[in-house]
Amino acid sequence: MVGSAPDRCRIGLLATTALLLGGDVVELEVRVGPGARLDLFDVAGTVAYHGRGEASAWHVRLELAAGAALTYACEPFVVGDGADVTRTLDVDLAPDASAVVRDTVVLGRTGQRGGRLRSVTAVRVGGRPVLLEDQRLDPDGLRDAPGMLGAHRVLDTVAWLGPARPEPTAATTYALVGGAGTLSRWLGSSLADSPLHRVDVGATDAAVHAAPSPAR
Amino acid sequence: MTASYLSLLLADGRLPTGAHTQSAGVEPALRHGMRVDEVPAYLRVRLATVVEVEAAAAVVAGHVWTSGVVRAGCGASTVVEALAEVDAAWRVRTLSDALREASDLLGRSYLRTAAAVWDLTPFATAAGPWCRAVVLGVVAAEAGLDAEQTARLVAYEDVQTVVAAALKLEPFDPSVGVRWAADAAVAVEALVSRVVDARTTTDIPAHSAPLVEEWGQHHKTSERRLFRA
Repeated sequence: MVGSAPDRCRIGLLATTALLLGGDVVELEVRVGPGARLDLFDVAGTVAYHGRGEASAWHVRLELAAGAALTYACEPFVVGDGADVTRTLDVDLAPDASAVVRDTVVLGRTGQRGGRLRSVTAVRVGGRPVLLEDQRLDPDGLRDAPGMLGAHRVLDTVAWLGPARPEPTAATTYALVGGAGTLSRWLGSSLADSPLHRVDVGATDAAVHAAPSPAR
Repeated sequence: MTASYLSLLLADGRLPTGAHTQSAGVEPALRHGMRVDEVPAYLRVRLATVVEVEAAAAVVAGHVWTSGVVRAGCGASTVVEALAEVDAAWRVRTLSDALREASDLLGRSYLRTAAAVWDLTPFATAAGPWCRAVVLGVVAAEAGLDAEQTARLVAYEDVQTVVAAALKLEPFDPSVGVRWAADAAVAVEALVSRVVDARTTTDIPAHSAPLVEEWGQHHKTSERRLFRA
């Protein structure tokens, strides 16, 4: 923990051993209580290494109670050659909770094509799904085909969920079903070119927790 | 009238459903640099992702319609509510709001045409919007098509929409397009076998194609477009 106040805290996530190797399963479960604010950030990126025939998995589950706010600034998740990773991201929000989550995937380390990645995202508000996405990015399958990813190797995504106000960027912006939030995504070849790279996730929704003004 | 005859009728590009305004994303794909010779690969991507989601939703909608109509004591509003669940299931699996909007427009005109031919009460009078997959699933079921025929109809229509739009945008030998559509049969039948047993909304996959979504989103605001989506 790097900072705290009566109703909020800031926590950095740091791996203490080499991640992610074949056979590894990482599970992160985060619950933010009613009215609390949590700022999570990765201290470093994660590399999914060659699994030597073994698959690995990375599961993140975020649960937000009524009035809770969460920011999660993920560092890049790099899928190295020979890796076979399944990532799941489950976000459950109470109807008035808000979350800003950055998720960056890089396929391949420098000079690599990258391994196999299945990325499954489910966002629910009040128990009802507002976004379900199942990306199957297999370099031996359709990953590089037109419509899938083509030549792109970076998927940079920021989701502003609930009342969190999205930051305008040059990335493609999608309105989630039923006004549940906004998702911005940039597909490209170099992370440094991503317009979402400069979004300060930890700071973006600071306004969310301010007392609602009568004008809004 | 037999189901196989009606299956041909529903698959006919001359069916006045407004589908001629659609390119199944091939216009934005070509605008973003896809080559015409990549159309077969583009078809494979669609059939493995967004079209599979649509076909599964149509199959589930058809199942809801058939069982709701047949089952005694099942109130009309229940059928509509169940269809609304299927509609929502497709919607949350479609990231691009532009593509959701395009589907709603198609659903509306498809429903208007079909409701003049078949008795689709109470669905036809229920408040929309309804995505195309749900409308198509209901209409196909009412016409007597089974799950397999319904899934094949959705997939076939997508293939022909892509090929026909590509021909208009970047003219090439039309027989090449026919060959592509014929070759797509393998991927179409594979899709059919994957979705034919879908019964509930949880059976609907959520496969996404990131560039299809991105191109679809950009196309909504692009100028001088020939097709709506």
